[in-house]
Parts: sequence; structure tokens; C-alpha cells
Amino acid sequence: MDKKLSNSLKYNIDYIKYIFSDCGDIVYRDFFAGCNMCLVYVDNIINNVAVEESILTNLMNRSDMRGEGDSFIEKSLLEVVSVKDVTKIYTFDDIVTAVLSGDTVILCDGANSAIQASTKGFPTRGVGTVQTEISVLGPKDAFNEAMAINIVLIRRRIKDSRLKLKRMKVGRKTKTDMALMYMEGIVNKEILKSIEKSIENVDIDGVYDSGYMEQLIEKNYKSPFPQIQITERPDKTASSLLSGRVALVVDNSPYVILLPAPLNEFFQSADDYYERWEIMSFIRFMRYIGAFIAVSLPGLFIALAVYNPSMLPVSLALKIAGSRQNVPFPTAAEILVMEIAFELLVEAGVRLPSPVSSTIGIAGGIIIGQAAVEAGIVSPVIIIVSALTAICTYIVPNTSFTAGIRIFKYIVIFLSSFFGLFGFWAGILILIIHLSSMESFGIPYLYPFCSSSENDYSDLKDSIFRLPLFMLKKRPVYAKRDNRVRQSGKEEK
Amino acid sequence: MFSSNNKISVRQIQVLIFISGFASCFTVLPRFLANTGGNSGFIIIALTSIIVSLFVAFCLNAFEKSKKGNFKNIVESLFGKYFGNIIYFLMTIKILVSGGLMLRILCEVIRETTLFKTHISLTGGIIIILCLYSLKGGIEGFGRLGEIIFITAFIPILIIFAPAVTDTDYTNILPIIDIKNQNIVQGFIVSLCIFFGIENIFMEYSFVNKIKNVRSIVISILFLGICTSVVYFFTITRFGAETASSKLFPVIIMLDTVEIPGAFIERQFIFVIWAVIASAFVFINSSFIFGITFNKNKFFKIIYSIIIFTFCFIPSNITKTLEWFYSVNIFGGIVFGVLLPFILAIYCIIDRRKKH
Repeated sequence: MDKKLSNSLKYNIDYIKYIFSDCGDIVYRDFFAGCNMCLVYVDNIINNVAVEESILTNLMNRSDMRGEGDSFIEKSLLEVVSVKDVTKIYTFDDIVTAVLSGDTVILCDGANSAIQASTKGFPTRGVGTVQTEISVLGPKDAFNEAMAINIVLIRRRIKDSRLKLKRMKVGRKTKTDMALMYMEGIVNKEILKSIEKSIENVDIDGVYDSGYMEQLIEKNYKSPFPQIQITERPDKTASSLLSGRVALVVDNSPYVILLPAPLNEFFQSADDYYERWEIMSFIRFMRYIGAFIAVSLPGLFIALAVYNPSMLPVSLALKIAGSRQNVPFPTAAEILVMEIAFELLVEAGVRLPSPVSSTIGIAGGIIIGQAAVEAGIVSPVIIIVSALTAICTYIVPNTSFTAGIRIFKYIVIFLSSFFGLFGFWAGILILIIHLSSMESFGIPYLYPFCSSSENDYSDLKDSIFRLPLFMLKKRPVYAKRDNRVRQSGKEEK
Repeated sequence: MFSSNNKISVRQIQVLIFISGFASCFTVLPRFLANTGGNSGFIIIALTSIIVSLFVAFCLNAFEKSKKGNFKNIVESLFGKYFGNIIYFLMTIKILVSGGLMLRILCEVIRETTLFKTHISLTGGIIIILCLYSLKGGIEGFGRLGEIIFITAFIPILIIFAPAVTDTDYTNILPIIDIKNQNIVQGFIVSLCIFFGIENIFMEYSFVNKIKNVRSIVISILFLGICTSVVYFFTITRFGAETASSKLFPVIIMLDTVEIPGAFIERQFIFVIWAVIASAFVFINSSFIFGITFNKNKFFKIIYSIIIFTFCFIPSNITKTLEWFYSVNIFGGIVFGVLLPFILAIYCIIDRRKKH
């Protein structure tokens, strides 16, 4: 549909009307301002003040404007239309894209070009507060659904001309706007190229959220672990950009995609850098321990209680055996039932208003749990194991990552139920093999716990422990090899 | 981007050498060496590690300077494509058979310690499936896997090992130099051929990325030698050479029975079995990786699985398995780990001098 505009205003309007037939929200405003003109825009997604004051009033008040054709368009563009961003367009395709993007198109009789005036005025909510990555000390502002606002929030934090932005559109029908942001000179060009290629390869009719893009551009789609990080924090995005990562801002989504994203990134929260390193190192360590417990505890309990009770201290083994005396189900079945009950409880509570979800939490956690123990269906130790697993599952500050933990937990339970301690370690081995074979845009997923020699082991300083900020002198391995020094007192490249 | 290049770093190869060596150390070495080296076995290991490291350094330097490419290319260059392929195939078979026998040993360890009633075909099958699954990450994934296993399996073992210093009877090792009844030369051969897996080192070195470093390989061999020497020392001090040679898996028993003061678990076997499973897995998987260097075809992966699985079940019991393992590695080790690399190194040196 790369059809060029004609000289006839009537023909152009008719053709646009034909394209937008049965679209009641398209407005055609005919007027005379030295020649016959017409404005085309979509109702309610434009900024009315801009259209009225910067286009209509200016054009109609200029008594000296006479003539027609391209010269008239050129003069209007330079002298009359006072909108901040105007461009000349020549095809119907450009007109359709401009109109649907919230811009106003100015057509003029005798001209085979038109003016695209930026008058976007989508209804948006203001800058809200962080909902999913809450920090105690850090900034509270969060991204919202408007891409322009999200870009501003990032630019506000990095006042450097080397912060580059590439605009693109994805989705054959939705034509969703996206902005690929990176720091020139810091970003690794190969990684950037690979990301751009992945985005260009997306061929879908519609993209409605960054979650769509996350799934469409990640390489290992069979893995339950995310290889792409999403965040609603502008400060985290800014710090990631300065680390050499790439940010993809998707219009209509309050989450920005950060790439690449190895496992270590999912264990970091914004607060890690706003509070003292000692306590945050301890918390970071606890997150890793928690993640391991979440994957392994139920399986390990089955292996030890059913197959190898001799490995437990005698008193503990007797206590466990005593608590299970009247329970009619095997240990593995008990654990499975409790884990599935917990999954249902989470799913039931997560999308409900908070008063209802807390009621479900009380009903499920306390009433059913206590009742099940008293009825002798489940042993109290199993409740402790399930509760501890549940707490540890959500200790990781990234909900996408917890999905992987939840799925692998069942693999370990399954193998432990059939093969005891061997099955348990086989499950852990599967997990390690799986994670070792994964990559996120060329970066090993388990980096910096493996391959860390690539950046002289400096990335280990911000992994299980977070060392003092002054010791984090180098940028991570994602950054361009010759520009990895963050703190040195020397002039940056 | 530094991955997706089918290469591993020097650190990764160091870790793989260490873990593969430890698989033998956990399962077969003390028993074999106690029979031949007796109380002096730990000195034999230390001395052998020095000899091996010098030999490996000599060969690798010669290979590198010749600029003929990887180990396979050098074999083909000397013996011609046809015979070179046959020799390389025989070497692959030796390593696959070793892998199969190690799989059997691992299955027996599991049957002896955790799964008393489960048939070893099930445990063996699971390990083979895990090996095949890990092949999807290629040599890079294998290198990374090695690093993670090193962190997760060997740090707990070190923690377990520390109390062994106090919880042992040092009189059992006396007399330290006991050469009356022992065959020291045989001890050296056992240590050299079974323990260090020299042919694996040459094969793995072919995958090292652009920053090659023979010194790092030497360091890892020496480090492995020291660690194994310490393990052997404590095994003998705990049981005495005679008892150690009669026990099936003396190192595992030694590690399991060390008293850890104030430990939550009654026996630290949970960590020990992880180290054994993980290290044996790396040993077996090395066979697959080596096989892939011979032929990457999917069909060959199935053939390799069948060879490993078959040799896991051919020996009728664990004693026979250990005998097989001993014979295959002594013969194969001398031919493919010592003679072949030595001939190749000499060829590379002569060839280089001719060109100059």
C-alpha cells in the first residue's frame, strides 16, 4: 500500500476515507486558509489544544497565506504550524501510520505531500509508584503504559548524549511502538546487533505488552527460566544501561525489557545498592540459599525420610516417624498434595482484591492447614516443609524466575520419590545441566559463577555477595571490552 | 559475545581435569594403589603428578609449536587420514569403554549406599540420559557444568575433610616408606595410567579458546596430585593399607565416617554421594564429548550410548568391573596416554626442525 499522494485534495480524502471506511472515530476537518485544506486525525487520542491552537488557529489567522500546492505546504511547515514536531509525508501508508499513532495530518489542495504534526494526546495515568519491585530506600517512581513518559524517566537519570534510542514498530496490525535504548561506547555491538535481529525477526499481528516481546525474542523457549528481565523501575533501567545492557521500552506496557539477563541479575534488587553492603550481601546470600531450598527441600525430605532416614539425627528421625504415625498417605503423596494446594492458594489469591485474597490466605493457610493436621490427613512436619518451601520460593525478587523454581521443584520431588537420594541429586544435576547449557544473548546463563575468567573474575564481586561500591570498579561482561572501567579516576572513553 | 564458539577457557579445562581425576580417586584409585603402593602410595601419586605434568607440558608445547591444529589433526598428519582415523577411533573406543565401566562403578556405589533394591540398569539409564541431555550444551555447556560442579561438590567435601585431620589414627600409615612387599613400579604405572586420564587432557586441550596456557594445565595436574595424595593419605591412616585394599570404596567410607562436631545431619553422606555422582558423571560425559570429536553425527551419539551402556553391564559383578577397568586403563593408558602422545610430540619436533 505504498501509494503516493495525488495533487487532488478530493481524491486524497476519498482514498483515506476508503482506507478508514467504517472507522467512526476518524475526524476529517475541512477548512479554508488560503487554499482548501483538511485535517485528519483520530478523535480522543490527540491533544485538542495543540490541534486547535497550534494548527487551526495559526492557519486560519494568517491572512497573507495564499496559493496552493507543495509551496503552500512548505510555507505552512516553516512559518505557520507551531507544533513541536512536524514532518513532510508523501504516501498513504505514512498517513495511516501517522493518524493511528495520534498525530494530525494536514492535507492541502494541489499538493502531493502532507504535513504530519505531532499531536499525540493518549489518555495515560501519571507516573505511579512501584508495585512489584518495592524498595525501602530507593526511588518510588515506576514506569507506566506511555512509552514517551518511560523514555523521559530514563533520560532524566542519564544526562548523556551517548544514551541512544532507536525507534521501531512491531506487530503487523498493532504497529506497537518500541524504543531500543543503549549507551553508545559502553554497549557491546555484537550483543546489540543480536538483539536488534531478534526484534526484527518477530512477525506477529499484535504485541500488547512487554511480556509478549519477552517470549518472542528469547532463544530457549523450552526453558521455564526467563532469559530476559523485565522491570518497572527507571533507576534499575538506568543502572543497567550504564552496565552495558540494552533496554527495550514497549508502548502500552509498564515494564521495560532489559537484555541480556543471566541468572545473577534475577537475584539482585534495587535496594542492594542503596543500603550498606554488609547487610545486603547477607540478604543476597540468603536469596541464593532460599532459591536452593525452594527447589530442593521437598525432594530432599522425601529422600531422607523415606529412603535414607539413617542420615538424620536419631531424635529427629523418630520425631518425623512419630508425627507420621496415623497419616494414611505416603510421604511423597503428602508433599505433592500440600505443594499443589499451595499453588492453588497462590493462583486464587493473586488476582483478587487484597481484602479477598487475604481472606483466602487465612482460610487456606491456617484453617485448612490446621484442620488437615488435626484430622490426621497430613503430618505437621509436611506443613513445615511446605511452608518453608513457599517462603523460600518467593524470596527471589523476580516473579518470572520463581516460575522456573516452582517447575523444577516438581521434577526433583518426582525423581526423589522414585530414586531417593540418587533421584534427588539427579534432579539437581538436571537443573545444573539445564542452566549451564542456556545463554542470554551470548552470555552464559550461569555467569559469573562460570566463565567468570572472561572479565577477570570482577563480576563475582556482585554475585552471591555484594561487595562495597568502591570495589565494583569494572562494568559487567556485557559491556564493550575496552570500556569496562567504571571507577578509576581516568577519563572515560 | 564470548559464548557459542565451541571453545572452553583454560580455567574450565583445569576444572574438568580435576573432577575427572577425582572420579577415579573416589572410586577405584585407593584400592588399586593400596595393593601396589601400600603406605607409600601417597608419595607415588605426588611423584607421578610431577612426571605427568612434565610429560603433558612437553607434549602440549610440541603440539602447539607445530601449528598442526588439534590432537586429531596431528594423529592424521603422522599416520595419514585412513590410519589416523583408525587410531583415533580405537582411542575413542578405549575412552568409551572406560566411561562404561565407570558408569557400572557409579551404579554399584549407588546400589551399595542409597538404592539397595533398584536394578542398576535404571540408575545407569538415568545417567546415560543425563549425559545425552548435557550434550545439547556442547563443549561450552560441559565446561560451565564442570565449574558449577566444582563449586557445589568440592567445597562441601573440603568442609567435611577438615575434621579428618583430628579424627584419624596416624599410626596406621607407618612405616611410610614400605618397599619390602610392595611393587612400587607397578604403583607408578597404576597411578599414571588410571588416575590422570592423560589422553583426556590432550583431547580437552584441543577445545581451549585463543588464550592457551600450558602452565595452567601443569598447575591443575599438580593440584590434582596433591589433593589425591592427601585423600589417599587419610584413607590409609583411617583403615591401613590392607583393609583399604579389601574395601570396595574406601574413600567414600572414610569421608562418610569422619565425625563432624555439631553437625545437623548424622552422616555427611549426602554431600559425599553428590561429589561421587557429579564427578563420575563428568568422567562418563567426557567419553561422550570425546566421541563427538570423532564424529558429531546424531547416529554416533546413539552408538556411543549403546557402547557405554553395554560395557556397563558386561562385567558380572563389581570385582570383575574393577578388574576390567584396571586392564583397559593400564593397556589403553600406556598406548594412548603415554606412547602415542610421545610419538606425536617427537614427530612434531622433527617436522618443525625439518621445516626450519
